[in-house]
Amino acid sequence: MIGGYFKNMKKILLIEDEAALQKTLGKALMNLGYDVKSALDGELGLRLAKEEKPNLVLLDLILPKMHGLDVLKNMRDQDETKEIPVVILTNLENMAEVERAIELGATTYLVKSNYNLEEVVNKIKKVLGDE
Amino acid sequence: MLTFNPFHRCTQYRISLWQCPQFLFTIMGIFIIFSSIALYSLGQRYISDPRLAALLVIMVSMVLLIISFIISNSFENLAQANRMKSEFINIVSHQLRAPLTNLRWATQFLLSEDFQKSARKEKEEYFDIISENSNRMEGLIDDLLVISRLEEGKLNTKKNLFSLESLVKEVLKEYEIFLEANNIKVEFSLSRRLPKVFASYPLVKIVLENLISNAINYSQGAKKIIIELKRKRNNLIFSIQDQGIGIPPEDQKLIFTRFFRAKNAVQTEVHGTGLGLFIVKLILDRMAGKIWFKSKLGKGTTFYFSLPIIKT
Repeated sequence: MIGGYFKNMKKILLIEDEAALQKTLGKALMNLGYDVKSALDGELGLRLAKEEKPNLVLLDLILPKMHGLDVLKNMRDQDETKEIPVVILTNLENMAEVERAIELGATTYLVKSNYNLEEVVNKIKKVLGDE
Repeated sequence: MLTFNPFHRCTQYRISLWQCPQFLFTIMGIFIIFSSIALYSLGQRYISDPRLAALLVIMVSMVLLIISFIISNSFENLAQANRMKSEFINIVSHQLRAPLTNLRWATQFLLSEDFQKSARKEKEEYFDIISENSNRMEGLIDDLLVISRLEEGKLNTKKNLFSLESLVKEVLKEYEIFLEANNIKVEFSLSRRLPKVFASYPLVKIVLENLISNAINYSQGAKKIIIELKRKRNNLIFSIQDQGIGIPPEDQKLIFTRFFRAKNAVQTEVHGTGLGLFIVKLILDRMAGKIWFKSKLGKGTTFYFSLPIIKT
């Protein structure tokens, strides 16, 4: 029972500049028991990734202050964040960049506009191994 | 009633006649007909030496080859224009996807069970998201319609004589709330006895709205915006100076392109459509006016445009 409670206290870092998505996706994940940290720009996102060492990073590509690809590259270059799984969130506008992100070590990508909120949440649970 | 216009594709993409494949083919056809008739008549009368005849045929063939080469190049222009149109459509659908996703997920969240347990105050945030993103999409679609109509020459560009000064005051009144909210003061200086301009009133209004809203959006903190109107020979020059973030030198030449947002502008997180200056340039080009700017990073930017005055 206690084990069950702690299983859900996984940390997710959501690096996304659209505040609306922080409030919908972020909140939906929080309601499932995940500890969701938010960053609205790339610089803060990278810093939080290092500080918080989350179980999963959800990374948008178009970000203020530091582009998503630079955040990813930085994460992969540093020991403390090298192993953290990263899921790219995109709206299909930049598939070339998404491919580049996979090359740089992103785990997978999610096209936001293709999925309902519930479907996206389920995919994230799957990546975390929390079916 | 069908009108026969074989060059309509070229006019639609605004490609000049000499770059238009259909037109060039017609020229080539006419050239072939004339040269065949000419060679035949000349040949019959004057040319007994077969080598001369052969030479003339080779020369004509070379000219035809050159024309064909020009025609294939012109197809490239047509293809390019077509590609730009699809690229534009791609960029547009992308721009619309972001607010649409926000809208969908906000409504799904509102409908979810978890949400029913949320506090009243929290609920309002989600209605705001829906409202804001609907407006965002509407703004984008409006801009796109303006661009599309301008490019096809369909926008009503009926001109009349009006006072630019009154129009500026009218637009400033529209933006009064934003100016106050951002604590920005406007200094408006005019030369004496300015003549009226002869231009399209609604289009100039769009230009002013875009320049003024940019000045407001890219100004930092409590600053001033200085607007000046003065006459210079046959033109009326409008200038608007802000004390904002400025435009980095490497981005300056791209400032009037579609959806362009300079690096430092992206970093200030301004959620606009990125089409404002593109529209402004389209309109001024259409009205035989000019637009230009001066900018210093971190200090501010001044945008200028000129409109012709009718000599009375």
